[in-house]
Amino acid sequence: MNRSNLFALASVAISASTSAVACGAASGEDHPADLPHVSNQGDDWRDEVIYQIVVDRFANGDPNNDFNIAPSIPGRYHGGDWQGIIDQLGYLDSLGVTALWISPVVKNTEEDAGFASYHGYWTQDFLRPNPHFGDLYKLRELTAGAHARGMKVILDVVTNHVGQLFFYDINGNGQPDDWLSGGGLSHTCVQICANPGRATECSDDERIYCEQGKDYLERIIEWDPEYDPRGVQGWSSLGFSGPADVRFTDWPESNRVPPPRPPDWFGWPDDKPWFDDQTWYNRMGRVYVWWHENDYSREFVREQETLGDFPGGLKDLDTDNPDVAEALTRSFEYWIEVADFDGFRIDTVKHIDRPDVAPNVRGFWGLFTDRMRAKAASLGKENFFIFGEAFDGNDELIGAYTKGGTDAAGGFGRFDSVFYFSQYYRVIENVFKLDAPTRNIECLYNSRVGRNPTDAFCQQNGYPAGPTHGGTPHATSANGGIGLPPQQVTVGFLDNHDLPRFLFEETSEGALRAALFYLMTWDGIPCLYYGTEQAFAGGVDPANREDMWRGNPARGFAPFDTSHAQFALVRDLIALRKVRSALRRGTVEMKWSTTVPGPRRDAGVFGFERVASDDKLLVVLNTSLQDSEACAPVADGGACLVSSFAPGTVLRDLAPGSDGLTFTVGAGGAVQVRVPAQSARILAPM
Amino acid sequence: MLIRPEMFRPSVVVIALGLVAVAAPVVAQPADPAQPPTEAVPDDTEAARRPEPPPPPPADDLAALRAQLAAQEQRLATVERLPDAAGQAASDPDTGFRFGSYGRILAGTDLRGGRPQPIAVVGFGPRIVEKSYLELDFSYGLRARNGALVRTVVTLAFGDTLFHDTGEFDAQPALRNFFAEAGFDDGTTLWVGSRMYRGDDLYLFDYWPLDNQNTIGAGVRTRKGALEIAAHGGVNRLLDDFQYQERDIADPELGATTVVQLDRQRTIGSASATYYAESDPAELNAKFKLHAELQGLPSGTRLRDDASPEALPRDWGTTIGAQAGVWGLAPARLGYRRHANLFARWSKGLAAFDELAPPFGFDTMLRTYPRASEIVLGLGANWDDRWGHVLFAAYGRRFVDADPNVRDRDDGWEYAVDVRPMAHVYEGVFAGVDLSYQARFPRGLMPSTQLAADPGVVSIAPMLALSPMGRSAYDRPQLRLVYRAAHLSDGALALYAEDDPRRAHTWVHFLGAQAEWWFNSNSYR
Repeated sequence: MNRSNLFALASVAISASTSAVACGAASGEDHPADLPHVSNQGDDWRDEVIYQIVVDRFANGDPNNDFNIAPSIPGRYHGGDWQGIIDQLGYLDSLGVTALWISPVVKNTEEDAGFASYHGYWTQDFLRPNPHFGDLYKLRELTAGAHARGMKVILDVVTNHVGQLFFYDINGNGQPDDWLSGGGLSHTCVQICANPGRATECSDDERIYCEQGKDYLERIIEWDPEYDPRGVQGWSSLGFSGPADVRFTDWPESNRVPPPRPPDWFGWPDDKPWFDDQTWYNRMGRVYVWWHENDYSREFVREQETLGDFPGGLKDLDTDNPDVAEALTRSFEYWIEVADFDGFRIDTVKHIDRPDVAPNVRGFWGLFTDRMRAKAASLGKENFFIFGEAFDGNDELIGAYTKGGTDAAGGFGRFDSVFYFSQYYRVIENVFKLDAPTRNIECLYNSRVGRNPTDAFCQQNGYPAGPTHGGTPHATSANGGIGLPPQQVTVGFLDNHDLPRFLFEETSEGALRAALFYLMTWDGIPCLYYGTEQAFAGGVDPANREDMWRGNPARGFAPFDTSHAQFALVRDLIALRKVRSALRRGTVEMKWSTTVPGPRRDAGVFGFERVASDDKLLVVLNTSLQDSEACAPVADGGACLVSSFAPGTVLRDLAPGSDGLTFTVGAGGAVQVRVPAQSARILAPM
Repeated sequence: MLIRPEMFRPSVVVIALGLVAVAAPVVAQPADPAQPPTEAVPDDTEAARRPEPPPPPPADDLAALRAQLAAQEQRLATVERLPDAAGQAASDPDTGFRFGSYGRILAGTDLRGGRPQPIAVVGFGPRIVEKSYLELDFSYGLRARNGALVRTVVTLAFGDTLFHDTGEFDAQPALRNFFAEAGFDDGTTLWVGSRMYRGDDLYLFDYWPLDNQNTIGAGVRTRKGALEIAAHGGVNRLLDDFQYQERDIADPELGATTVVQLDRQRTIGSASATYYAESDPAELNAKFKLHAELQGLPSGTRLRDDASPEALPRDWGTTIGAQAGVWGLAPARLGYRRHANLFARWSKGLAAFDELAPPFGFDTMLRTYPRASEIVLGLGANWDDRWGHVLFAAYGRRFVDADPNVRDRDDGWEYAVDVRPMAHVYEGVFAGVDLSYQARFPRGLMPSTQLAADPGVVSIAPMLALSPMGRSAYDRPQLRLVYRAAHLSDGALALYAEDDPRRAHTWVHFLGAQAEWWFNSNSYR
């Protein structure tokens, strides 16, 4: 209010109260951004157990935000919200998890092709909370409630793309056509690669792309046209017409409207574009070639992955544009400040930069991650943890995101860790579900830390020498980093919202038990997908996003049931991890692994020690369906696992649900440990 | 589907429905599209507006008693001749056909080329600019053999759709009164039907802060000496899926048939006791009123869009309130109306919301009771004098819904103050000004800015009024020429959505002419 104004003065006189304020708090309310932030000083992320929550599916604590819900339809909103999580903090506490990873909080487009944005990955507005889940106060109440119980909160962040906010008006008729009549190949294929006069402009990759994708590329959908190396082109039956016009939708009922300009307090210059400007998007069309398949070069595949729209018509942001990078960076600095998050899980990181190809190009991540750490430090927050999701089994590729780089401006950091997809494919899938030899675990670990897995098995199975993951911290704790090398804080998981649940493909609860033993005793940070402790068994998305509040009727479990064995196993494993520092922070020393699949004396056995300064444990896993021993077959000499414990040491099994057996270390440290099928022994000196 | 628009922020409501100018506040709103005013005291305001009856004859005047008996005999004879209503009406002013009306209309501009808009950031903003509204009141009175007066009343109400404004040859009336009542000589009145049932208002806000029910039901009122007791019970069943839902099912033979999935009536009961300390109009008269309400809503199950069931639990609401009023201090011959009324009301659950709209802000079980609450304090007054008059109204209101949010934009308090001094300048012509301030103090953030803000509006409205029927502020018809300038604070502007063009206007104007009248109302008894 302009206080020089006569009437404004009159209003003050009449009201004798505080009139409207331009920013900050009113009514005596503290703005969430002005509330104090927890420091996390002295914390160590290796001590954490992350619990991943799809907010819409965890608990419905406030029916008032149940807008447009359809609980019987898997692809629609079901009603979960931040209040629901607040209500269940006691349950989470009883499980023992220490960090909550919550799905994205920003406002989304409501719907796309009949599916709803309940997952939160279809950003429409980077600065406003998703009203399906609550408001800023509620979000801050959630983080404060978690902090009061000693839990951290990690925000799921999407910077690669936005929701389906526009379409490519390829035929220029101003409306989004699902199918264009007449078919036609992409511009690059027809005008360049198939044009004898311009064939030299066509790269080998593009030629292969056009040849191999011919049938597929003949279909054009204006929401989601296939990738065109030279950008999506306008087209009609008479030929190509230059870059296709981009038209933002104006459908308020489903919130498919251009992102609004930021509020004044954001301080974004009026003369700068915003996310409603088409030049902020790459406009190349949808990623078509995934993985390093066929004959494409790595560069071409990575170019598609980084410049193409994400499937579903999720429009790819041009993060190489400094303004885009700055807007995204400032937006998520704001979320740290306003909600007091303790870390970020970042979506689709391999679709933005290519550090595997160009490690010393700072790119978006080199800017973004360092800025987030600096912001956290400026708020007095230490140990701000940033891990990225690169949905790829290539350990070198995902590990590249954890390594810093150097450019003309100096050194820069990247992610503290990655979501450990290479472990998922190499170990969880192959070893625990498909009975592959346990040597895979050892190979992957050695690659990660650079122990150069030189044995024939590792080489034959394509494990690189490494180190595939970063070996030095990006920043000290005081500077907002975590002060730990990425190699020590990989985020391991058994399943997540993008994968079928463990029990869907491998219905044996024994296999899940063995995998949980591994997850909770192995190094890095374990991450549980919500409902694992309730034995959920849903298939691929959206079946793997069950309503937690409905319990698990198939198993007879009530909502948030804490009385059954599956819950007890997870709880007890977490509890054991909490009290044994070796399980959290100890180094890893391999003691036994197998290279031979199938039944034999040591089938499925994997033995390792975790060694901390004040604690040491021997863990012997058995992934097989038989009781096995950590000993070679008699025909091969029968030697058993050699531990680092002194001869005569009596080791007691601490594993939850164990038979409490003890084992005495023999000469030279040898110990003969028999492990029940799909279980483990966690042995500590008595 | 559970959510209603009011849960999704006022700015959205404004865009979607084109409601109140700034934004419908999130606190409980009146669904009543336009409430005609009532004069403050006494409750039977319609009677107060009529000319003063001649004083009764002294009890010991035998001649007068004889005259009264003769008149009574004549009336009874008239009843025997029914339906000769014309003859009855001639001898009994309460019988026969009667037409009454309340109306207000404005014509003007916002000085930006558009239609003038009310400005309200509180639940009940100053009425200096209100939408046009018309009530047509029809009643017919019959006198029974036993002396009972039986009346049937129908009131049609029309909203703001005017043919000469929109070109739409259409106006949908609402049936606001549709009841019959029987009055007996002992002062007892019974009624049955659909009725606006209310007491005194704050005229400048068009707001009944204590008692205002709109139901289908029945009631009784009786007066014994200085004490008047009234009670009523009624129901409503809004055509909203909070109370009523239909769905199609396969017909046992062919095609589809419609069945009622949800059908739950809200029951509202009210009772009041008023003690009158009355004497000569020239003296100080007073009344004290206690009021209580009880509301109930049965449980039910509705279906969401995906056909999944949603259980709606039983819910309750309670209200207690009080009013103290004074009036008089002027001889009746002067026609002055001087009064002051102080109101206090405390409601919980359903009663904290307007009964003509579904509630919002439920607890986790979809109930409003007992967490939702409303506290209202109001003061209304008028002073007529030789030089003119002064109308005054103020209220403060604290509303908290039942949802689990401690910091919630729906929750908070608000107040409004309005004063309208008018000086008599010439033969029924008055000049004056309406000054008002309104403010809200929500406990949440503005969706558009994500900041906390306290919306406030200051308004100044100089006016000329022609009131040919008398000098009182309550004499009608009244014709006015008004200019209003309203200043919106940043918080008030933040109630608009980002793309709402009104957000750019700190000052909102109105220049135009207004007319307002009331006579022979059947609504306010």
